[in-house]
Amino acid sequence: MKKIFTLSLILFGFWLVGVFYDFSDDKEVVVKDSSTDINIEAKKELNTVNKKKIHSDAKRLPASINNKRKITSKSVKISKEKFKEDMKKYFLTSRVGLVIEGKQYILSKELRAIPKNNYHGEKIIEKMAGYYIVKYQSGDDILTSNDHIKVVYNKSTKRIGLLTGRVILKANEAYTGDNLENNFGLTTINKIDHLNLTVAKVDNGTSLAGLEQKLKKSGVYENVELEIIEGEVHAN
Amino acid sequence: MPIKFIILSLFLTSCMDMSALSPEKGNGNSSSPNSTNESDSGSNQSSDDSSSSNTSNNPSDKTVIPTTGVDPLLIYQWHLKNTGQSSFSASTGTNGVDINLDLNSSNDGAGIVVAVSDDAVQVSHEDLNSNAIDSLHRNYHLSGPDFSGSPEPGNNDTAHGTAVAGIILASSDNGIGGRGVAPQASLAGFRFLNATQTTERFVDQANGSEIDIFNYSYGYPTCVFSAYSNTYIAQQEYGVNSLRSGKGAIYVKSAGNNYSSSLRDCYPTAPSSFYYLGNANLEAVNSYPFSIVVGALSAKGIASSYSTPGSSVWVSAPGGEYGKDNPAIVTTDLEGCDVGNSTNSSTQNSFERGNSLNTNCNYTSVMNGTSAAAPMVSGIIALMLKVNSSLSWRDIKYILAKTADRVDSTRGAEAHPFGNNLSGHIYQDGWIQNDADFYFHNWYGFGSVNADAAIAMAATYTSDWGNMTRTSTSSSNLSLSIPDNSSIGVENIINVNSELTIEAVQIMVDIDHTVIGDLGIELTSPSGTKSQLMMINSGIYQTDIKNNPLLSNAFYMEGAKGDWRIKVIDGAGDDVGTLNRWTVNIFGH
Repeated sequence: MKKIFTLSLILFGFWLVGVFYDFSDDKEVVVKDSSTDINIEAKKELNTVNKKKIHSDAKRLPASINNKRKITSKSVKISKEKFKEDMKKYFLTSRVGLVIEGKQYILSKELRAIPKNNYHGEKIIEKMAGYYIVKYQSGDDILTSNDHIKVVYNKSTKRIGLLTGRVILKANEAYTGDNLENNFGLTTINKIDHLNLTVAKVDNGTSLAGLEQKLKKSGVYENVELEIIEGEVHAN
Repeated sequence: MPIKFIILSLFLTSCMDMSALSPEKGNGNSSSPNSTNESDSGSNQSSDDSSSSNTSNNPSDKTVIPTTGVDPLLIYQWHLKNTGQSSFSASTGTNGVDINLDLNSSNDGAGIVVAVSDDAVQVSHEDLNSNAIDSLHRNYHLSGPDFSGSPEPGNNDTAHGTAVAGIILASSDNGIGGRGVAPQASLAGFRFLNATQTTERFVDQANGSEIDIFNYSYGYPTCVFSAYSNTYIAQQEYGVNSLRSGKGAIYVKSAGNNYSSSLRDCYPTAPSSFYYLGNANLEAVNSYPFSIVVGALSAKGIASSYSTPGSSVWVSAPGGEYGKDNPAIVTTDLEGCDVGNSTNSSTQNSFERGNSLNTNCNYTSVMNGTSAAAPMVSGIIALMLKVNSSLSWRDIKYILAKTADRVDSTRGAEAHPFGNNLSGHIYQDGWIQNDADFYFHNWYGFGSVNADAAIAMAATYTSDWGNMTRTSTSSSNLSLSIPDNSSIGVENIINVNSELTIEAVQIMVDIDHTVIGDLGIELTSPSGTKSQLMMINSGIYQTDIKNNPLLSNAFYMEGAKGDWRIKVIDGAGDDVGTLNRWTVNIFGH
């Protein structure tokens, strides 16, 4: 009980810090943002999930047990404040944002993702959907350096995701030219013919800022999708 | 300051609750509070052995389990014939709670191809290999774009896909193991889940002219709206329109195991006592009509403790419990006693440790989840297609709904599982009967699948629905405030001017709210049928809903024309928001 009380005081201290923290809510493509609240370092816990299990710990339990489980918004907010400081070191120093399909993301300058097949022993911060997220100190312009998979933070869901640098394009039926996407700083890497799709890679030096809008406004493409992987599907 | 003291008090209470909860926390293998510990082989065995008295050699008697086929584990497969056996767990199921399949039927699903897209599939397994089609397997660990390759498990892969495949099509009458629902259906194994989950791979594992049925026993946790690629949704639409020679591929999808799950599914640093209530509707791929979303039932015929509910659920099927205290599913496991679920060191039960019924540990008795329920339905669909290959994907859905049994039929309205109720608001409605006389429940969809009834109806079924049509009607910009912590909610009406008969109703809402998890969303049809698409106080932790679809099957076969009413309810205090705009999409004929 004493330990619990001590832990509570520590966590309450974190919460007090959060109360006086200044939140900003920028809406431009490049944002300066401080409303970040997850601890990627701690997400290493995910790695401890026993993927061999085929059970879930989710249960319809008797009310006497379930009543002790917390889902109120107040308690969620307390937990969110607890992790604010750690979040800074991965996303806050970047302060670079991006809007994709109307959703706001923040890019990390200090993380990158690599396919697990290309892993060479770097310290793993997180695993997601077959990728490893590792530390990466970039001195480049995060919006135009596209030689690695970027790690982003979704401001609505408050989760991290991967901006793979691939764009999936569906040309208008009227368009009959070849690989026009190459004119937009993209390189075609695959075709999905039965859906009339082109998969392209964003070239190094092509800015991600406004790229989606630029392609849509071109009048050539019926649909434009910058690939973002958020979370991973797992066995049920 | 007083507010802070109140919050501090609440927080300390939360911490005390954390310690109180610790005994039953942890992995899913833990015992439920009221259950007894696993007993060893003696008592379990005697209970299961008693079921053998119900066996018969009379092939015309479908009420008993045949012994002529010599599938030694068949008598433990309660999902095929529930005689009240314990299936190596500490308690028994309920006689008759199964998929109602004639085990003496000559219909074995031969020639129907089922793709199991999973972590991996041990297609060389002794009870699977005769049904495996080598040329159809895929391995998404390859760089592509051609992913043809072996789906056999590699590092980090588990027994999951192998167990799923066994439920669908493990061979029968071969003297080993149990049997699948469609024991001569063909198997295409896809090694997918642990590969890099790119859009191209998602698309590829939903495509293929050789495949009749795609089984997806996987999903995202529903602690946030999931972010399936629109391209993947487009692939599924292509699949139902173009694959299987235009009759449509059948996509069978598990609803999820997140009835109540740790918030750590999405936020690993959340306190351990923080839970969310899952909703199958939050997985976008479930919220289009192209998938058949399947919930899980226990051996007692009620929703499995973990099964994720939602108005996008189509039907339910046996998924069992955990196999220690209550029966799970007996199926194929990775071969050998050093891999898979059945191992020499298993603490589950004697069968899992390789007792005399499982000496090589090639089978498991602890497979469970909606992952187990979905392949039951895939197997039944294979049997339906075997008797009538001209059925379209919409025919299949109709027949499954029409023949499903209304299980747990007396269950009424439910209170909030964690006690976070809202005065004047019913948290979860019970069974509803819509204007087209279909019964629907968010836990069960249209009910428990009934294999023989579905196969019988399939045999002679024809339809003349024509192409599926979609109409879309949107509100104006609304900016309606959602009353905080009030059952009054905010309502808006859209008039749909269409004569369509409904096959599915999807809404797209645009809501800003600092805690979306506070909100419930209800939709009422012109016929007066009300469906709950989101439940209040779910613990979902995001700040808006933009372009996220929500689907309801509750209005199936009603008329679309008239006023559709949305109601958004905020079930908790402090956080507020607005309903900005919404759209109703009707899929029908």
